[in-house]
Amino acid sequence: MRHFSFSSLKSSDQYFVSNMLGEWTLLDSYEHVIQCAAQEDSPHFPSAKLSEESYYKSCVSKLSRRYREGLQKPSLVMVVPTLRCDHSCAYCQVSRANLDSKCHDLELDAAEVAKWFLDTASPSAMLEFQGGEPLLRQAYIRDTVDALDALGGDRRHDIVIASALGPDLEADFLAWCVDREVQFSVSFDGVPELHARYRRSNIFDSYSRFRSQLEILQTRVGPTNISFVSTLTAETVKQGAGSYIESVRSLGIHRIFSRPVMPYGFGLKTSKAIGVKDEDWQQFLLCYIDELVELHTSGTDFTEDFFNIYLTKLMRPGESGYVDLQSPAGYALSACILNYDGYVYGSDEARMLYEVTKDKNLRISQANQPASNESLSGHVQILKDTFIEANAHCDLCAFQPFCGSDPMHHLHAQGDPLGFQPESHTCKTTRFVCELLATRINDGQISPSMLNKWLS
Amino acid sequence: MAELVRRDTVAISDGFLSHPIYVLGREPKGTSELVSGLIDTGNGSFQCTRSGSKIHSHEINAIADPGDVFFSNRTGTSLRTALSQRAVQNTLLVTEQCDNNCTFCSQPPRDVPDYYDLAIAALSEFEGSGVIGVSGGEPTIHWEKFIGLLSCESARRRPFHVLTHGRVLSRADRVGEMQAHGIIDSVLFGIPIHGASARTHDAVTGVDGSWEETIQGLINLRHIDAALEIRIIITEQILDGLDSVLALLHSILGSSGYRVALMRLEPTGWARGHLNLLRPSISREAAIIDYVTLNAGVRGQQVSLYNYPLCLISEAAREFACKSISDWKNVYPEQCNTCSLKPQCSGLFASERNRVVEKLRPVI
Amino acid sequence: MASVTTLEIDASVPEELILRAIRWSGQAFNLKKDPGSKNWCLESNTRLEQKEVDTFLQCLTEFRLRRALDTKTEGVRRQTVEDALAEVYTKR
Repeated sequence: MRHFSFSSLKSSDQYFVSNMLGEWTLLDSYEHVIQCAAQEDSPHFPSAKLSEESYYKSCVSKLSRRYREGLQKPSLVMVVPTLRCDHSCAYCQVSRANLDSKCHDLELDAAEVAKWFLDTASPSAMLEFQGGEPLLRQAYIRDTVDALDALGGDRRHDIVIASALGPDLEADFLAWCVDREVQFSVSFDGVPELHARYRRSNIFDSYSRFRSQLEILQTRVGPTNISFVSTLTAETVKQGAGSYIESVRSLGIHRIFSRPVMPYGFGLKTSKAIGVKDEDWQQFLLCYIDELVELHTSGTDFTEDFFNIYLTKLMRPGESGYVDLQSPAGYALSACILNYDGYVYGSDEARMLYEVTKDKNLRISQANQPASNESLSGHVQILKDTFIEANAHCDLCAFQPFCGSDPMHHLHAQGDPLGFQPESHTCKTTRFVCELLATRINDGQISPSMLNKWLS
Repeated sequence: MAELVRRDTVAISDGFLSHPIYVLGREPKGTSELVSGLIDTGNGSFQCTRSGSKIHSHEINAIADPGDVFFSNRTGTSLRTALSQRAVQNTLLVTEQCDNNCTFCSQPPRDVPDYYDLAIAALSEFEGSGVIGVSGGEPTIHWEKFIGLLSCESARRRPFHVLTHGRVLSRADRVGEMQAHGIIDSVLFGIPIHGASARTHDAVTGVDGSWEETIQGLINLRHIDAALEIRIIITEQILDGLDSVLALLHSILGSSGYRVALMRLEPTGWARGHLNLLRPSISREAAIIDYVTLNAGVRGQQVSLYNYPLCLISEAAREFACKSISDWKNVYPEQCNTCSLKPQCSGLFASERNRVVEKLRPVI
Repeated sequence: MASVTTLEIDASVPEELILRAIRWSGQAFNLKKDPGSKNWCLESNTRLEQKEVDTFLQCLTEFRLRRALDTKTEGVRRQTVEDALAEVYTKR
């Protein structure tokens, strides 16, 4: 008989059922699960008619493909040109530095960074500039990418700049961005008043500055090259999904990636006050998805990338490029980051953690230097526990094919990379969102044309 | 009467063709006795380089260019372009034998000698580039000859489109052999599937176990990243289960790394006899196509519609349609001349121009 | 009125499954073996509602079914993972 996994849903008596091929369905009751287990009535998966041999071969092939792809060179490589920033966001997790700091800029020259990138990244990797505020070093970014293009032969990498749009946008730089088809990932918290409140700056009114800069950017590089990332605090969540969406849309934005502030972490006193509790986040998401369904039904275009991550995992297993939820973990394998300090870390969160804990084990190596055996074995140690198929908390979970490991999050939140799933934010969120989406898809509230539109 | 997009056959008005293969405009490059050159001596006269005999035709130059390769017919009275530099894709028929027996086969099996040697000889003379189709019957039915063709000297730099049921590729040793000969990287495998279960698929092929082998062939090929085009011929019988077939393909192969081609039925071969049973109504076919392409889109699968005139499918489905009918059997009836979509449209099969023509509606 | 809730579970149930059920149901139990019957004794620190006890027992039932499914499929799942990993390393 075929193995399948089952997990109870919280919102009904139904069970979410899945198998190693990544097929899933909902069963009406526990009795139905027992029936399937006794093979009186197997789950109605498309693979049901396959012979045992074909089914097995297909499982091994798909799984080995995932491992093979996971073990290739990183597809997301980040560079932090500076930790200095012109904002002082209440929820900042990178431990930003002051504008006038003299020791928070990446001191490698453009050619050295380019060489490091070419040696490290996969041929089709994306290069993402993070900060601090990367646009404080526009010339450096341009020089680095130019060096990369010159040294890289016929390799052509997509470039993304994550920015709050504070610094003046130099005309030549913008012209170069257009030429080079640079993408911008812009921070905007959805609600103007809350954006202004939690993303303060000493130099300007952050919301007005964002508006005027965005207009310049949109005019010069075009709206298709700009995406938006939003950080939600307890206050935003309290105001509800409806007003959040309305607010975002009123700026002419119809696609955004929203994530909550964790109510802990990085030693900030404000975290507890402004962080979003799991229950509140889930309630917000519940309303959010219903709003999205209604918008689509009324012919309005609006996409939330947070849901798209899970929709991709559910509907297109194997296609998810989201590095923070992979098995084995995307940490150091699918992603890595060259920090302003000249050291390479396995993820964005790893370099943030380093700033707070100063734990040198978080570093992989210095750029353009080989990693020490000690360092490598430390990271391998972390990574070997990130195959969730073999992890004691995850091996029997029905959401496993659609989930992954987040070792830095667990290290940060719970003190060890493996994590304790029953209390893990990642686990709770994944289970909740998968349940939410699966039930809505199953009962037709989320239709194929909605999915097609959102995922296109 | 609509003209064929490309004529491929000419009759000889005087003389006799003694060789099976002719290359136009020069001596043959190779030493094969199968091949002769055909030199234009003016006024519709052509001289055969091997035998010295002359033939007459005023049409050869109208349909072919120097460096093109012809096959002659059995009676030596006509030529058909085997490999033409004007063709979008040339296809070589290598055998008419097949170990499946599909109910609507457009090239029904015949127990006649095969043509691998002719194919190799023709290929070695052809000066054109572009994709070479390999079809049958079942091209892999004579395995050594099949490998011989794809690994011969003149096959080396060419891309191939092999139409096969893929059953033999359920065997790891056969797949390994193809890899060892370096064949995999240059081949697009066009493999048909007729159902989401052995019951439905084997009922079409008439061979028990054929689905199982084809499925394993698909899994093996996908595993080594071979280029895959999975072909589904749309009949009334498969319509209700069509979405299930794509769902199954998604389960075993994933979302990417292959393409699914939904093919409108060509009314030739065995299909011709029972078209009434096989052909769905246009509206039902169009509706199912909408349903299936939508679901495939959600799963991230690439779907193409082959052989569908654009006016016979919904507006939403047109983005999936391709110009896919081989030019030598492709026609556009009169009323298509006023249609604004004609440049993108596949038109009709030559074999069906009389049946479907009245249903076509030009889009203004 | 007792200030704790005690449950007795048959000795044949593997300890590991009981521990998983405790973790995932969110109930806190102390786990001991009865020296005489060898059965498991679970004692909570507070008195539990019937609903909470039912949640825990359902959780345990599910883990037992999962284990049975896994056993029935003869560890095919684990074998699949091992074969997939072997695939990757022999290719490389």
